[in-house]
Amino acid sequence: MLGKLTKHEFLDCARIAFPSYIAVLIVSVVGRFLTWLTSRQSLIDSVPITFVKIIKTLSSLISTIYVFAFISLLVITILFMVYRFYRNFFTDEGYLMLTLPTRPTNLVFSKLFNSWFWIFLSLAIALFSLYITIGHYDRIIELFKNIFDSFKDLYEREGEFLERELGVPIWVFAIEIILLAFTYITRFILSWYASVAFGMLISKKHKIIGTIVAYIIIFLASWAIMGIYLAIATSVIPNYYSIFTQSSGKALQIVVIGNIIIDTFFIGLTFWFTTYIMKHRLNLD
Amino acid sequence: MAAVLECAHLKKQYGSTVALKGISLSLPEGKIIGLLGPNGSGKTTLIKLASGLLLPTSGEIKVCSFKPGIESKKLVSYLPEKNFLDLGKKVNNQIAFMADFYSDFDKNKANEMLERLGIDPTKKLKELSKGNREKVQLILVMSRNAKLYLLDEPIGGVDPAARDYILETIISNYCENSTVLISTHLIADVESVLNEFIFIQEGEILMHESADKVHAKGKTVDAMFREVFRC
Repeated sequence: MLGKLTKHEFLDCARIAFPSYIAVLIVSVVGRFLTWLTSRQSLIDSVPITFVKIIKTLSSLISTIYVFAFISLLVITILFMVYRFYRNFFTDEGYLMLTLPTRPTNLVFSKLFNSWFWIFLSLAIALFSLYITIGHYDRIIELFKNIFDSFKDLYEREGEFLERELGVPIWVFAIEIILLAFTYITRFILSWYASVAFGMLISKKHKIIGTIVAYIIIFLASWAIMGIYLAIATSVIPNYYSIFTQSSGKALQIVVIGNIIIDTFFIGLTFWFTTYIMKHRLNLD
Repeated sequence: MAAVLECAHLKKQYGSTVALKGISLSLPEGKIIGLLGPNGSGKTTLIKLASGLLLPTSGEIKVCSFKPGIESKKLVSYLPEKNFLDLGKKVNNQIAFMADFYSDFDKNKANEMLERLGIDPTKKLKELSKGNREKVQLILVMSRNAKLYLLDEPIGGVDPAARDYILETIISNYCENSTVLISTHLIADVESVLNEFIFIQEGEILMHESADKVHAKGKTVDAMFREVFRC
C-alpha cells in the first residue's frame, strides 16, 4: 500500500513539478543564448543599435527572472510539499485519502519520501540550470576535480591530525555529516507536517496562523533542547571548555552528534503527533 | 440476516456538543436504507464514524464485524457531501487511483457509466461541469463492489433530472448482499427506492422502520417525516 501511495503522490507532484523545472531550464537556455548574442561584437556592429538595446534589455530581464527562479525553486518545492500535505489530508480531499484502506503512518511516509525526492531533484535542477547559464562543461569538470583534489590534499597532509582532533576516522565523520543533513531535512519536513496538523486543531478559521505558531514553537523547542544538551555536556564531559577552546574537532563532534540525536528525537515526536491527530482528532469540515 | 453495520451505545461528542447520544442500531445486508433527519441531527457524524473518519467517544461501531480500520475501509464505499477529488487530475487517472487501492473496484463498470453519460475520461475534472463532477464522484463510489455504501446527501443541490440519474445509478449498481445507507432530507425523492428508513434527531434514533410497513398503512415516509419533525 505504501508503494501505491508513493507512486500516486509522485505522479501528482510530477504533474506540477516537471513543467516548472522545464520552465526554469528554458529560461536558463534563453539567458545563455542572449548572453552569447550580446557578447558577439561582430554581430552587434552589424545590426541597428535599437535592436542591440532590445537584446540587452531582454538579456537583463531574463537574468533577473532566472535569479528569481533559481532562488525560489527550492523554497517553492518545500512550500508545495507542505501545501500538498495540507490539501490531501485536511481539506475536502481528506474524505478520499483518509478513507483509503491504509494506516496514517503510510500516508505520512508516502508524503515524506516524495518530499525528499523532490527537494533533492529541485536542488539538482537548480545546479544544472546554473551550469547552463554560466558554466562550461570543462570548467564544471575542473571545478569538481579541484574540490576532490583539495579534499585529497587536505587528507594527505592533515588526515592524521584531523582524525586525532575529531576522535573518529574521517569516513565516520563523513557519514555523520550525511546523517546530519538527512535528519535535518527530515525533521524540517515533519515539523511542518506536525504544524499543519496542529493548526487544524487550534481553529478551523485560523489554520495558517495556527500552523506558523506551531512551527515557531517546534523550532524554539529544538533550540532549547540543543541548549540543554550543551549544558549537560558542559557538566558531564571532563575538560569540556578546554575541548571547545583547544580542540575544535572534538567540539564539532559534540555538536554534530547532539544535532543528530535531537533531530532524530524530533522526527519521532512530530511523526507520532501528526499520525495521532490524523487518526484520533481529525474532524474534516 | 447478517448485519452490515452495527452500533452499540455509540456516542460522539465534539467538545461540549454531543452529536450522537449513545445510539444502538443494526443494519441488515441487501437493503437500501434512508438515514433521515433535519440538519444537525447527527446523520453525517454517524456516516463519518462508519467510514472510519471519526472515532467514537464511547460505545462501539462495526462494519461486517470489523471495528473502523483498514479491514472495514476495504468494505465501505463512501460518498461524502463534499467534492473530494483532485480537480487537476484526469478522470481516467482517478479511475486508475481507485482501482489501485480497492480490489473490488470495477474499471469496466466505471468506464461504461462514463460512456453512457458522454463524459470524456481524458478530461481533467476541473474541465467538467459541476454536475458532471458530482456524477463522476458517484460513479467512482458505485463502481466498487462494496458491502456498505455510505452516501451523504447524494441528491442535495442537484437538479431533478440529475436526481433521477443518481438514484437509478444507486439502484442498478449495488449488489444483492450489499447495503446502501443514504443520508438526506429530500425524502420524497428517495422514498421510492428505500427498503427501510431511520429517523434521527439531536443524536438519537427516533424510528427505524420498514418502508413497506408504512406504505401498507397507506402512509408515505415523507408524510411521516413531516409529522415527526413538525416544527
